[in-house]
Parts: sequence; structure tokens; C-alpha cells
Amino acid sequence: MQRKAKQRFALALLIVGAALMLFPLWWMLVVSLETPARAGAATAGAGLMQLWPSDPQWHNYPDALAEVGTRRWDGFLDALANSIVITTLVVIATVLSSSLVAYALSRIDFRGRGVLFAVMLGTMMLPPQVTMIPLFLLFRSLGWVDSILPLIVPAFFGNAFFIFMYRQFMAQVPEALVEAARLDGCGHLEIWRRVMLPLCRPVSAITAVFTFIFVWNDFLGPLIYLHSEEKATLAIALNSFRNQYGGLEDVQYLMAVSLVTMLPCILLFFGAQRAFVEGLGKGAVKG
Amino acid sequence: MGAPVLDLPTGPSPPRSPAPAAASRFWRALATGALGLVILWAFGRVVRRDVFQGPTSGDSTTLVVMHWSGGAGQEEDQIVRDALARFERANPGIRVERINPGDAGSFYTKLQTMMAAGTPPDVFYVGDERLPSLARMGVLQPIDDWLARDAAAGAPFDTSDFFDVTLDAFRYDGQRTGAGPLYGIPKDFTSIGFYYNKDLFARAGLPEPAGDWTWDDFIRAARAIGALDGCTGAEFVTWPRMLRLYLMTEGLDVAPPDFTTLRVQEPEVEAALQRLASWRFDEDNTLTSGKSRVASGETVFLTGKVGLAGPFGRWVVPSYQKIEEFEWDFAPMPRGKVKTNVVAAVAWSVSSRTKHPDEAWRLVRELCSVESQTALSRLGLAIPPRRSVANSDAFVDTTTPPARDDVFLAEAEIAEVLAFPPSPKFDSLMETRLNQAVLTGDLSVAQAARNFADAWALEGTSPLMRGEFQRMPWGTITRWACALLAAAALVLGALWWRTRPGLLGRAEERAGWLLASPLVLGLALFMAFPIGLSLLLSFTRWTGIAGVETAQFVGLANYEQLLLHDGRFWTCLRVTAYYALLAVPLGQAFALGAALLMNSKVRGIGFFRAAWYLPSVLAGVGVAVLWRWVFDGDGGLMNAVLGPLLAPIGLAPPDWFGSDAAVFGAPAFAIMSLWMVGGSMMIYLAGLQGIPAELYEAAELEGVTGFERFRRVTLPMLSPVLIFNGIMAIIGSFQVFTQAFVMTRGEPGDLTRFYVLYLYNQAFDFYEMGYASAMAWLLLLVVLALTVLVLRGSRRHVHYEALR
Repeated sequence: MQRKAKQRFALALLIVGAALMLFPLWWMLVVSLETPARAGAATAGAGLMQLWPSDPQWHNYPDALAEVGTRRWDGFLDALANSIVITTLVVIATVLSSSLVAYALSRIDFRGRGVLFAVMLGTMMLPPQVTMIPLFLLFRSLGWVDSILPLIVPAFFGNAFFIFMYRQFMAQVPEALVEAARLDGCGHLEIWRRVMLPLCRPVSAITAVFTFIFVWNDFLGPLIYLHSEEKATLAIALNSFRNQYGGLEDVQYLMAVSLVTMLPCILLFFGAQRAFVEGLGKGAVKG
Repeated sequence: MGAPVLDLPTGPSPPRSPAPAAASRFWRALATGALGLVILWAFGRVVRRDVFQGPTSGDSTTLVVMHWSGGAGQEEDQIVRDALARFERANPGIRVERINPGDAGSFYTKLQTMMAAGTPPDVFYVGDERLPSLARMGVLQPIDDWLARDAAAGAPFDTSDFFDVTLDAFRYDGQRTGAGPLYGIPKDFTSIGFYYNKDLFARAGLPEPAGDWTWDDFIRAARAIGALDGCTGAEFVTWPRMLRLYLMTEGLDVAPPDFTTLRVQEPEVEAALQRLASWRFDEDNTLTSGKSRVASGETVFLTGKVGLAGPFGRWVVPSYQKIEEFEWDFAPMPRGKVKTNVVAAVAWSVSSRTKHPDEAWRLVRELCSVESQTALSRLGLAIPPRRSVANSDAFVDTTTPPARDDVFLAEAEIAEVLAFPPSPKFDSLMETRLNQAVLTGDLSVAQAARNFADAWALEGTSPLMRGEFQRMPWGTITRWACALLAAAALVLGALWWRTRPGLLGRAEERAGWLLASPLVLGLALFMAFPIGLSLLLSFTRWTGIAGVETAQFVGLANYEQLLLHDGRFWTCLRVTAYYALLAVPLGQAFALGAALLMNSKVRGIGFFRAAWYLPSVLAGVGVAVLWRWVFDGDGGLMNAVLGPLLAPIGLAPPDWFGSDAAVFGAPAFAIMSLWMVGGSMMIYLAGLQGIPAELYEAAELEGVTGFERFRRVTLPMLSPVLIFNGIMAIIGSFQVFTQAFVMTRGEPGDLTRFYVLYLYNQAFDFYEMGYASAMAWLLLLVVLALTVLVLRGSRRHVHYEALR
């Protein structure tokens, strides 16, 4: 009986929390479907608390998307394609390089391993602003400015946070599995590819999702490195858009474009959340 | 720091659960296929564009043009594009590349990075407020020689057609604006005044503002409209330019033209500021309260409940032209003792480092031609600087409001050049200090004026002002660095050799370093090099605009200035520490609580986990707009909920980003961060699920349940995760930037100016890259110290299951 009451209480908390957490998203959706006057009133805090679009203006979406960038529709489509290309490449590169390095850090015994790991942890504390200008000078001297290389190439060198996560995971893979592979004649690269990568799928899922979200939303990097408008990413396009439609009038357009920009993150998260959460959970069973 | 201190309880997963049902497999295949197609499409589009329509090289000269298109968006962009196309047609052999980062803020950030790298655009926009700093740094090419040469060659560029004041705004002689070489040809400008709601004026029985109306007329109108039901008299913005214009109408200013001292503590100046403050705070509904961050500035006029809004320039006209609910028009700046006005202008300037100066100048001529200005003028966004265009129907347009286009021109005729100090810090200091008296009202005018004067005086005695410094000897430093590195490598190599392992171990070691080589290379290239360079830069004074070779070696002056001469640094550090103190424990407690909830076996838990995590996935501008509204002092969601709750105990909800920002500004951001704890929650959840069930069973056998079980089983088992999350949260809390940058810009005063935001201001608004590097290094030390402290303090309490 008592257990049941407790469960109910937990459920109530969960529902209230979920409502609180989802409210902003819902509010953005509502505002994005409003007429200019009502959207303006809702964001001006004129006491109008809208919970349901009175008369959904679905055409706000195509109207707003066409106005992204300086060329009708092409601005949006280019930005979308650029974001997809950059994000895909960075995700793949991060998963491969981070897991490879983590394999070396966790399963191969070599002198200097501890120091290397400690130094890597130290770099996680660095505010990115410290390295921003020197990095720009570096990429400039390589002639990479106004190309996507500065945004992609660093991903091939591993990411400290994910290396750390992979390492914790790989360190706990039973030695017997690795030993069996070795007896089958596998070298380190093959053990990494055939044993570790399949076992680490949950971590790879987390890495992919986190990286996706970060790269998709990244603003400062593309702003600094990409010059031409055709190469802009969605985050950049959204920012320019905000300056045209950031006022009280046309705030519904801003919300519509914001939501479309966020949509891949939302979809991806709901799609991957099983692999993600359960991976984290099940993975924790000590091997 | 020991290496394997942080230990996430994760491990390999067993083979995946039984094959999913056929239907689910179908959907999965469909989703994968669709994703693949989208990715293919994206790659196809990008490859086709970049490979097949790549830059058409050749021996043509290429000019790079950079501009922004704030309020006018695609239309302004199109106008520039048309002008460039005309230019390319008339000048075969010259190709023009165009960059448009969007708004003015992104534009200047980008301009600075390009200049720092030694590749500035050839021709670009410059706002008059940035002109003194840019001209002083020598990055702009004076235009006078070209003007003289073209005149001698019989093809003069007719500057006499321009409003003199717009040209004077771009002259700078190293000391003051308005004299000396010309650094740009104005592309458009505006005079300043008030927009008024004709309907409200009629309802209040007021005459429309006359051409020579006074502040008395102004405030009489504002009071009459404020007395109407639900209306406010006027929105009066206090941006530095506007506040100075207000003082100038009384024959005053905040500083003498050389800006060595300030005049704010003169009785007349204080009296004028006091008058403004009492209009706002001592009368009901005469001026807007200054509480609301959402409904302020240009947009508040759109509500139709405000009689007057200003002082604004012409830039609001395109958005006001969409108003259908009421009639409006433009009134001149009211007069005090003096009838005067100032202009705000933007010019096309040429980089002093352009490789094709003559071609660049020819392009500027085209961009400022009658044709371009006519097109720009039709946007309604600004006044064309050419009188011939300004007086044509391209500007004076009787069919669209405002009806009184001529008022803009009349005000332009009497406008003076507003002198800007060469230090861009001045505006920022003025705004943050004086707004505390005239906008939010948390300080008296006398106090705010004193703060401003003190801060500016401190700036004058800065160790960075001590005089000439030597150039940074980069060559010597590079040689020494190389020598040191080589020596270190030799010593390490020798040690390495002496302790080398056996043959088998050596092969293993080679493999290890080989596989770890991406990390090693990455650390060296993308970490060690930039960190080293930024450490060196922290001992220099470098604008970040002129090439890095111009950096001056100042020794420890940056650090001295930070610790002893910069009050704002301490304010920002205090704000950040206050935030961290709240956000870290609250956030972690909340995340852990949420994870415990998520760990319960309720139906549909997957949905709840996703829902709770979702907010941390979302980022960006839309969310910032939302939160600005939530915490708005005047009609925000938070206060709408808190108000009724606090009323019974006699309390009023706080004005989060207004007059109560000293206490409630940082907490508002901390509350916001609670909404983003999904990431920590997920990691806690993973930790919770990693606790073996046997432990709980054992606890149950001993009769330990409930909170006791949590304290004695869960917490110890979770402690490594707790430390990991805690350290990540501390690091994150000191790096807050985007939210503050988008939502409050650090205001009011500096009360929400987080450390990294101030660092960004120094680097990109004040052009003090060396100073910003020093700040970054101090931040690194602070965070490092905190981390070590946490690790030391926790060592005894943390339980490690598998410390190898």
C-alpha cells in the first residue's frame, strides 16, 4: 500500500516536471503559429498567456524559412546542407578518434600513459576563449579560413570528454574477451574494431548525440571561420535572422525558424534515447 | 592531479536484447533510409556547389567587401549586391567577394578576427562610434589623397553634395572627431528625435509637437498621456549617445572634448540627470518604469500605449510603417537651453592594408553613388548623406509615414558632430554606471556620477597608460621556445631510453603511442600551441586588430591593472562566484533528485527521461527570447506566478534584471540553469543503475531502508560520479556566456556581467586582446585551484570500486 502511494507520488512529480520542462517548447510552438499582433502581445508580457494557438497560421513556417539568408529558400537550404555535412563529418570523426585513443589509454600499457591522461583532463578546464584567437591565427596560416576544415579537422584528434567516457567503459571490458581475440591473431587495431567498438555502442551513441547537438548549435566557430554566405551554418543563419525579426513584430517568424533549427536535435534525441539511456544503464552492470 | 581519480561506473553491455519485432524493425529501416537520403542530399548540394562552382580563378583582381544588414535584412543585402554587380560590369577584370555576417555585433567580431589574421576585407562598413578607435589603430586608409587626385584628374567625387556633419563624423586627427583626415564616405545617417502616437496626443487634447518644442512641452505631453487609462507618457532610452544628446540640449556634456576628466559631477549636469531620474521614478506613468527588458526600446511604441518613444533615429521607421492600429509621426529633439542634434552614421571605409587601394577606392565611389544611395534611401531606414538624394522623392515620401520627413532633414542641418573618446571602454562605463541612476534607479544620481568619475579616473592611471612600451620580441621568443623544447625533448628522451622496457614491452609501447597519437598531436596543435601563445599575449598590449607583430611587451601590467585598477573585474568575479555558489549545489541536488525519480520503475519512464532531458538539447536565440520574457519585471511569467504567492506575506516579487539585480540577477540565471541539468541527470542515472542490486538487498536484510539506505548505500556508491559532475558543473559555472550575452548583455550596471562576458567585452569591444588573455589565464588558475580543492577535500569521502 505504502509502496503504491510512493509510486503515485513519483508519477505525479514526473508529470509535473515533464510539463514544466516541455512548457517552453510548447510556448514557442504556440507563438510560432500566431498572427503577428498576438505573437507580439504574448512576448511583450502584456498579460496574455497563450496555451493554445487561437487560429494556427501554418503558413508562418514556409514564410519564415524562405526569408532565411539573402536568397529566397536557397539561403535556408544551403545552411541546412552545410550544417548536415559538418555535423555528420564531425560526429564520425569524433567517434572514431575518441574511441581509438581511449583504447590505447585503457588497454595498452605504455609509459607516459598516466601523464598523457592527466594532461588531457587538464585541458577540459580551459575556457575556449583562451585558445580562440591563437587558433584562428593557426588556421589562417594554413589557409583554411572560409572552408569547413577548421570546424572538422580538430575532431579527428579526439575529444577529451568522450575519450574519458570511452576509457572508463573500455577499462571494464573483461580481459578474457580481449585475450580470446588476441589468440585469434587480432592486432590492436582489430581488437578495437571487432571487440571494443561493438561493445561500446552505448557510449558511441552518447558521443554521437552529444557531438551532434554541440556542433549543430555551435555559433562562434562558424561565425569566425566561415565568410561566404553560401557556407553559413543554420546557427549563423538563425542569428542573422534574429536581427531582422528579433523585435516584437514578427517574433512568430523567429520562433518558427528557431523550432525548425532545433527539430533535428529533438527528433534525434527521441530516436536515440532508448539506446542512450538504457545503454548507460545496462552498460553499468559490472562485467 | 592523479590520473584515474574520476571513475564513472560504466562497463560493457551484455549482447543486445532479443531482436526487435518486425514492425519496429521496419520503422527503424525507414528512419535509417530517410536519414541516409537527407545526408546524401546535403553532401550532394555542398559538393556540387564547392567543387563545380568553385571560385573562378584567373588573373583578375579580387576585392573583399564586408557589411552588415541589421534592420533591413535581405533588402539592404540586395542593394549592396546590385551595386557590386554594377561595379563588376563597369570594371571587367575586378571580382568582388562579399561577406555579410548579419548584424553589427557579429560584423565587428568577424572584422577583428580577419584583421588580426592580417587579411582584412578591402572595403567595409564602419560606424561613427567605432571610428576613433579604428582610426587610432591605423587600420583605416585616409581618403583625402584620392579625393584630391580625382579632382585633379577631372573626375571629382563631389563631397560638397554631402551633409557636412556626416563627413565630419568620419574625420579624426588622433585627438578629436570632426577634424583631420577623412576615413570613410558615409553611406547613410540619421538625426535623432522622438516618435509620437498621434491618436494618444489627440485623446489627451494635446497639440502636436512643434519644430521648436521644449523639454517643458515634452514633459507636459508625457504627463497628460500618462494620465490616460493604461497609458505611459514616454519611453526615454538612456543609451550613451542619447543621454549625451539630452545633456547637449542643455549646453552640457559628460566630458570635455578631450575626455581627460569628466563633467558628470558638475552641479548642472547632475541636475539635468536628476530631472530625468525624477521624471521616471517620482511620477507615475510619465516615463516607462525601466523595469522591463522585453518591452523597452524601440518595440514598446508598437503597443500603442506609449505616447512618445525616443530618442531614436530613422532606423525604426520600416518596422513602425507596419503599424495599422494608430497614426504616428516624428518630432524633433526637444530643446533646452540650446536647440541642437547629433547624427548617427555609417560609412564605407578602406583598409590600410588593402593590396588594391585604387580599385578599392573606385568601389567605394560606386557604393556611395547617387544610384546606390537612392536605392538605400527607399528602404526608409536612414537618411542619404547626399543632399541631392535626401531632397528627392527617394527620401521625402509623402505617401508613407512619417509625414514629417522634412523634420529629419531640418534636424540634420543643425546637428553637431558627437565626439567619441578614443577608448571604446568609455561608452560601456558610462552606460553601466549612469543607468543605475537614470534607468533602474538603484543608485542616486550623485552616487552613480561619482562611480563613473572614479572608474574613468582609475582608467587614466592604468599601468597600461604608462607610456611607450617595446615591441614584443617575437623572434627571440620563438628561438628560445624552440631551444627549450629541444632541450626538454633531449632530457626526456634520455630518461626514456634508460628505463626502456624489454623487447615485447617496446612493441606494446610503440602501439600505444601510435594509437594515442591523434590525442598527442591534437594536444600539441590545438591546445599547447594556443595556450602558450595566449600566455605570451597576456604579457602584451595587443589590439587584436593590427597584426600580432605590433603587440607591445608590457610585462605584468595587465595583471596589475586587473587586480588593482579594474573595479569591473572584481564586480564580474563576484557576480560569477555568486552564481556558481548557487547554481552548482542547487543544480547538482536537483539533477540527483531527478535521477532518483527517473530510476523508479514507472510506466512510460522513457518518455519522462526524454522530456526532462530535452531542455538541455535546445539552445539558441529562441530559448533566450523565452527566458527574457519569463523573468521580465513588468509582465513576466515568473512574477505572474510569484506575485499572488508572495502577496499574503506582504512581499512583492523581485525585479530580476532591474533594480533588484544586485541580489536577484545571478539567481535568475541559476534558476534558468536548473532547467538545463538534463546532462548531469543522465550521468547520475547511469551511476545509479550501476549500483549492484545485491547491495540494496543486503541493506534490506539489515533493515536499512529509505533515507538511511540512500545515505549509506547510494551516496557512497555514487560518490565518483558526484565528484565528476561537481567538477564539470564548477567549470561550467565559471564559463557562463551565451545566456548573459543574449539576454542581458551584463546589465543593469555590471550586475549580470559574468566573467567570460567581460572577457569577451575586453577582447572584442575594447580591443584589449592582451588584457583578455590575462583574464583567461586568471580564470584558468581559479578553476584549477577550485578543482584541486574539491579533489583534495573529497579524497577521504569518495568510494572507488575499481581503482586500478
